[in-house]
Amino acid sequence: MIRRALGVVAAIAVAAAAFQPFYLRVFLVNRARMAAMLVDLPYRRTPGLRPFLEHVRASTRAGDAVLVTAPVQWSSAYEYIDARAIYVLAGREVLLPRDVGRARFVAVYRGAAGPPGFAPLWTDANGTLLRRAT
Amino acid sequence: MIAEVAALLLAAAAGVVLARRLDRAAAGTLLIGEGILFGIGFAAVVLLALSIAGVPWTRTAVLVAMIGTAAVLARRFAPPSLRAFSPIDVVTLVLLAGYTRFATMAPLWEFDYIGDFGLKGRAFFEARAIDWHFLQTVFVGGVHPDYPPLLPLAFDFLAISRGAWDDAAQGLLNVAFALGLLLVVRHLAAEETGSTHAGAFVAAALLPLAASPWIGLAEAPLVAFGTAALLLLRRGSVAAGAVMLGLAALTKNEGLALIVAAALGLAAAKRARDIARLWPAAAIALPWLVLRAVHHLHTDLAEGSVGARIAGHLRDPKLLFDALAASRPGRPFFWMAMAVAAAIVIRPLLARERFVLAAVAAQLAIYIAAYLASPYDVPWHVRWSWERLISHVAPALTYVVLVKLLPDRRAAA
Repeated sequence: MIRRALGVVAAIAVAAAAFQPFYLRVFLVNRARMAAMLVDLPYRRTPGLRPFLEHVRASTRAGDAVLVTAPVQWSSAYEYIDARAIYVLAGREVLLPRDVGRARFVAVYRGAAGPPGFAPLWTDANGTLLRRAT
Repeated sequence: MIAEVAALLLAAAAGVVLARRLDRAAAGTLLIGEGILFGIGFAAVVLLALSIAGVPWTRTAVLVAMIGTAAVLARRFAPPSLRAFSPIDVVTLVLLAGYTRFATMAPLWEFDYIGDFGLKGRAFFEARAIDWHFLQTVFVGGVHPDYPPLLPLAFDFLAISRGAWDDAAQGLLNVAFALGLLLVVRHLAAEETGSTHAGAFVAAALLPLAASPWIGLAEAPLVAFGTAALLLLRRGSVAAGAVMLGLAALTKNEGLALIVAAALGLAAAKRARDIARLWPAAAIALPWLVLRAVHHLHTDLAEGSVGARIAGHLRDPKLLFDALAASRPGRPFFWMAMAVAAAIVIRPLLARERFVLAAVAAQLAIYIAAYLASPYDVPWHVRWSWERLISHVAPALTYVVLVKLLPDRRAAA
């Protein structure tokens, strides 16, 4: 009898220790605020990058070759930006800087200056999209 | 999210047909749980097959392939009957509702979703096929082109159903994987203890382990398929367990390791005859291994001189063990409670749970061997993966401890 009771108590202790209170607390959180925080979480080092890339996506078509560049100085900035650009711009070909000759568009995050031969298509608060001049 | 929910219901219906074929003894929540997991796996396999056959993914092609196959396999339509409801189920349902709210709250945010599983899914969706050129040429780190494709294909299944890519709706897959596993667990625990309440209790206890906090990552499907596989094999449902193992192997390389671990577990439990019956697992895993070799998709663990790396790490094993000791294997109180609970039932555990214990031990040994072969900085690799790796085996381990702790009403009767 004691052994049985001990087993039940131990089972309840395991369940209590495994319990994830967040899955109850989540009903009380401000959904809109938390969603906004989560949306920006993967882009936290580059504020405005996500809406900028979404704007670029809306202005380009599947198959377009796009070079995404940025005048940022911190180490591995390009890998950080490219890793996110490839996701948002899926279907377009995101290029490495050495392939600028193949680019139809150059998206400059937090900047306006692009390589020669490209003309601005639009500028928003987060950057500029340039199209190859024909 | 209506389109995605409808797609998951269709997959579950097709999965129930498969479950009836693979597991004649399945009924009630076990049948529904197996159906959900088989159904999502089946949808991914259909997309893989269409891609290999050169048929572009369309809603019609996917529907015809899924419904056609299910119709051929169906013998008769009989809706699964449910076991009695327990008040404890309310706890599970509330927590699952909370998990659903969390998983679908925002476009998926984990970097491994944006940089790996979701990225591949989205690239495939844009191409309406597996985009081999993308996998061969993608230049950012962390994409792992060689990783098995079940999860990206499952994302594609939902996107094809909607006709568009919806990041937030993809979180529903996490919920479906957790629900599928919990339904399997609930039935098996009730069957084993002879108590509906005990079954509901075990399912509620396992919810935090099945409901992976990493939304959009492959942990949730691997935990679901892997745990269901081990528990079904433990029960003697070898065909269903082997297919679950195959789906785990189609989800992550750790699932491939689990096939080996399960075979070792069967050997340790003196069920060597059942090892050959795991062939469906190998049959499901094999096509991707062939495809990734044919398309020259690189595997980071196999890059360079594996032998030299292992020898180098073995020369200084302290580095690995220090990293493991410093890592958090999940919540400490949970593991302390598990240790005490396991100590209480240590005799029956060692006597009757050799299969699960040996399979879990073998799986962990394979993970440690993989660290030895790692091309990355070992402390970094351990720090960013150990908690997730432990989460793969925690549910099966917790299940066997809990069912040994709870009174067996069948014995009393």
